[in-house]
Parts: sequence; structure tokens; C-alpha cells
Amino acid sequence: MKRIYFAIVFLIFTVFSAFLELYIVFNPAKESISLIEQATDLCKKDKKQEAIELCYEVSDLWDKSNPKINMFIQHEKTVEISSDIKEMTFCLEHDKDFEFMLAAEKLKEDLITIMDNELPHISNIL
Amino acid sequence: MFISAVRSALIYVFIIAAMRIMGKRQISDMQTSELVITLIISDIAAIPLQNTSQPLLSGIIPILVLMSLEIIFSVIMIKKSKFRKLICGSPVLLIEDGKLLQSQMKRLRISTEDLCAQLRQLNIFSLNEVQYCIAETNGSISVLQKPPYRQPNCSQAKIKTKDDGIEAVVINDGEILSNSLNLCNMSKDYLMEQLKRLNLNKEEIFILTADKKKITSIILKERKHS
Repeated sequence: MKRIYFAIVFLIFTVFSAFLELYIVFNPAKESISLIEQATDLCKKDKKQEAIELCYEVSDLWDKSNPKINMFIQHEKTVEISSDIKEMTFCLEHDKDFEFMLAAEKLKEDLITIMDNELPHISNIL
Repeated sequence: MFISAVRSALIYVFIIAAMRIMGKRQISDMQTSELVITLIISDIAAIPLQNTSQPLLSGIIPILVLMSLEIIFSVIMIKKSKFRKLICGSPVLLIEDGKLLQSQMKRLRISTEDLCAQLRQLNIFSLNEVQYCIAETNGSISVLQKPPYRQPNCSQAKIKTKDDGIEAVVINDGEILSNSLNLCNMSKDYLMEQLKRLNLNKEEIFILTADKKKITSIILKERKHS
């Protein structure tokens, strides 16, 4: 009968891990999306220096949360996002506005996909 | 992680259903749910081991879910016989008074050849010898022979027997096994005394067996040739 208590503890641990994962992945992803949107707005307004600073902020944020996110998500995905951030910053630093917009959109899309993939939707489960 | 947990639960139920549909022929000694757990856990555990970019948690969490489900299911099966019947099925009579019950054999999809082969493994070479043959929930068969073919036991033959207890390995490769000592009702001091009387050291012994009364056999270690 003691084993049933272990089973209940394991199930509670599973639910806790699932919520922890959502918290760890969603927070930096949402913050990054908001910073990227601000950066693209600033770029449209020709305030490139401020936009570059925001890109660095996204990069720092991602580098900081990467080790925690790696515990839950396939490492290839996090590596891809890191390289997308670098590409976006590089484009902005070298006055390639169109490429910057493309990279920013791709990055946003990747972050949204990561968040969506972790939600227990029927489409994800099946 | 939600997806891993829910997928694990779904696969668990799905494979149990599949194994139940496949029937008793497909499983050997394990209960259906045990076989399912064994199959899935071995597969899941291999994924994060093979693919290092896969987080280890995505392997651990599904295994925890499966383990928990297995425990919870087994507890429910103890409490609710109907649930046990649903998951494990129930024993099925295949032979009654030497007569094959063909409808039951068709239902379980067991051929006469398979059944005869299983009977032969139990040292039964004629269907006429069988009073009852039952297919158990784990896929094995149990047989009760007709009275003339049954081996008489000591009480039927009115033979008085003594209980000397079980013979156990007490020393294995020079090491005293305390569990076996308890089984033989023997103290360590008594054993050492006996060894002293035989002029033996426990390190020299490869295997020593004993029952409740005495040391039954001693095999010494082979000496190394230099």
C-alpha cells in the first residue's frame, strides 16, 4: 500500500514539473517577443542605436535563461533561437533593415512555436 | 511536459487495449499491464539516452507517469475485481473431462497444436489424461489430470515424512550468507564451531549447504596452479 503514496507523489511531481516548464519557457519567450517588437518599431522610426541595444537585451535575456530552458526543451531549438538573435542583431548593426525585419519575424515565430508546442492542446497531444 | 505526460497515459491505455484485443496467445508469463509497462519503459528510456539533445526530463517524466499508473491500476485491481477482469481478463476453461472446448479455443485463437505442445511440456501426452485445462490470465495453462493419472502424494500413500526444512547455500565463495543462516535456524557461532571441528576455514569453502538439522554438503575452492 505504501507504493500508492509514491505513485501519488510521482504524479504531483509530474504536474509540478509541467507547470514549472511553462513558467520557465513562457516568461523569457514572452519578454523576448515584446523586446523584438519594440526593436522593430524603433527600426521603423530610424532609431537604430536604441534598437540595437534592445537586440543585445534580448540576447542577454536568452543567454541567462538558456540553461534552465535546456532542461525542458530540445537543445537544437534553443541553439536555433540563439543563432536567430545573433543574425537579427548583425543585420541591424550592418544597416540591412529588410533582412533585420525578416530575422525578427522568424525569431518571433520560433518563440511562439516553442510556447505553443508546450501547451497541452489536443492538436499537440495527437 | 504536459504532452509527454498525456501521451504516456494515452499510449498506456492504447497498448493495454491492443494487447487485450490480441489475446492471451501474445503474452507469456507477464500480466498484460506489466508487459505494456515493460515495453514502453524500455523504449522511452532509450530516447534521451540515444539523443543527448533531448532533455533527460522528457524521458523521466513519462516513465514516472507510467510507473504511477501501473501502481494505481494494480491497487484498483486488488480492490475492484471487475476492473481486474477488464484489464487482465479472466481464466478460461479449455478442456473439460478430456473434451476440447472448441468455442473457447476459437475465442482465444489457440490451435490444437499449440495446446498439445503446452500439455506435452507439462508431461501430458494424451488429452484423455486431462480433467481440466485452464488458460490463465498471464497466458500460461494450468492442468488438473484425471484421478488415475495423478501422482499420489505422501498423505495419499500414507507415508510419514519429516520436515528437514529447505536446503540453503550458507557459505558462497567464502562469504557467510546471513539470510540463509536464518533460513536454516543456525547461528553463526554454531557454523564456525562446525567448521573448526572439520578443520576448515570459511575462506577455503566455495559452497556450503545446510538444512535445519545439519551441514549437508561442502565444496572446497579449487587451488590455483602456480
